[in-house]
Amino acid sequence: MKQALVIALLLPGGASLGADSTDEVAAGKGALLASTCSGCHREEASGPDGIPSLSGQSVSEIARKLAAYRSGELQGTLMNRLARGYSEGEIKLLAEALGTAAGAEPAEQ
Amino acid sequence: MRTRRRVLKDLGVSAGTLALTPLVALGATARVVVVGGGFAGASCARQLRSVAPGLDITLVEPKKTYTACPFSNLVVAGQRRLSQQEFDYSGVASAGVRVVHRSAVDVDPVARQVRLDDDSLLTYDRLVMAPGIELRWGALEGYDEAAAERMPHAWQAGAQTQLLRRQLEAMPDGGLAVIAAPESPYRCPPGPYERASLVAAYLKREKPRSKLLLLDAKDNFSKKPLFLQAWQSLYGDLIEWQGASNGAALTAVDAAGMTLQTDFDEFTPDVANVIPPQQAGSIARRAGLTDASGWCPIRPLTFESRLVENIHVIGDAAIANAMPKSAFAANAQAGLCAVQVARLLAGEAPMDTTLLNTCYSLVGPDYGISVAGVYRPTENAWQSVSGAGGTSALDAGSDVRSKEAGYAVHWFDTITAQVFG
Repeated sequence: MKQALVIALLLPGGASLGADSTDEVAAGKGALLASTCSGCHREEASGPDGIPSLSGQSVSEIARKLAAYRSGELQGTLMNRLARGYSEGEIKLLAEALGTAAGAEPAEQ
Repeated sequence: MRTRRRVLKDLGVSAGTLALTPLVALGATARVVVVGGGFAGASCARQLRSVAPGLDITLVEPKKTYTACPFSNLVVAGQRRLSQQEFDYSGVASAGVRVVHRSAVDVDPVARQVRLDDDSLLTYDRLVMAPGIELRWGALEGYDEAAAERMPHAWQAGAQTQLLRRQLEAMPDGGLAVIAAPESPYRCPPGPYERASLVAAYLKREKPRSKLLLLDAKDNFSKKPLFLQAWQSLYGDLIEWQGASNGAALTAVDAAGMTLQTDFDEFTPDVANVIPPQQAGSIARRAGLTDASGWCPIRPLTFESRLVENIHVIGDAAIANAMPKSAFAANAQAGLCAVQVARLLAGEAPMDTTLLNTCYSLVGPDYGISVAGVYRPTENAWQSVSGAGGTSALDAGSDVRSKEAGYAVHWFDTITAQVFG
């Protein structure tokens, strides 16, 4: 789990946050959803035979891949089976939690 | 205004030194005790530390070295050293968790105290129990702790794993090895079948005239079509599986005479690996967390006990319904439980989520298969999301089997680094 997003997990879900609470609650929910991904995917680069690392992939790239795994357009070993379990909304939250923030320097893949 | 989320994201690179302003409300004095230092407990303690650094977190685990069960079948099959399964708690401790190497012997849920085997008391605001499994000695007639020295279970990794390995090494070519698998639920549903596969690989290579018989107390098991297919293609008739409908469930064992009894038959193998019925670790029972099944009923979203307030149960001991008793599931539950415990202590409502599980099994050299599931919490149960999950394709090519074998190794290295590294 990305350390920074971890913090959003504990933000109050209600009144004390004011106007941008929805955004922050969504970030927390995304971080929680994404926390199970780290059971397999490492933050650091993985070798050619390893489970691909997610670091350095942009939000839109991750969202696109998850949607493609979900539809079957992209074939993985296991990701199709997992992606089918998530709604479009959840895929958006997952991508935002896992992807490199827009504007950040994308890492070389 | 710039959203806090963006600010937090930007700060991500230096998480260890963050000023964690949102957490002040938690109070620095809230105490969480975690009992059990396996994939559930050690992970939960660590993840609590990272989501709520202000908490006082104590992990209670009697052993100084943890011996991981996943991949211990490779040790049984002679493809891996037991030391590669061993992890200490220095990583957990340096993450900021107080690690106490004692056994928890009792829980007082009213005083909210855990008593340790030196009679010291740990007071908690929330207690996370991750006691794993205990073998139900005597549930199978004749199978007690003494019997396990002749007929190892090797279902809690360590000395038992090595004992089974030594017995297989001593077995003559042309001998009979039996693996007896229990009814569900038990730790690691595909485990007995992965073990049979890897032991068969060893026998085929070193003792090709031998036979491996799997006596099963059930008719269906995890990834069954994939295992049967792999056994046929890799090991021919070296492995024979018999299910409950074939009368294969053990009814009694006699360790002194090395006999295994079923309804219709008696076997006298050279090696008998008896995997007995299981239940939640004994501290869960003493704390009043178990029901008649021997496992711990929980409220799905928070993993809080249905029987005792302020105590959460995660990992193999918990009744997580569709989620299997696996290391992956334990680690996933640990992450969720950490967040919910921190939220509850901060006076926040639990956060809804979706969990997943992935279990790889190695069935031969460069041959891996997997099962996966995605789960949603209802009021009463963790349920599989329909249309998701399932096993590797039956008709997948050798490239996929090879890839999944590599992924299995990668998964083990990743999860152990995450929990113990």
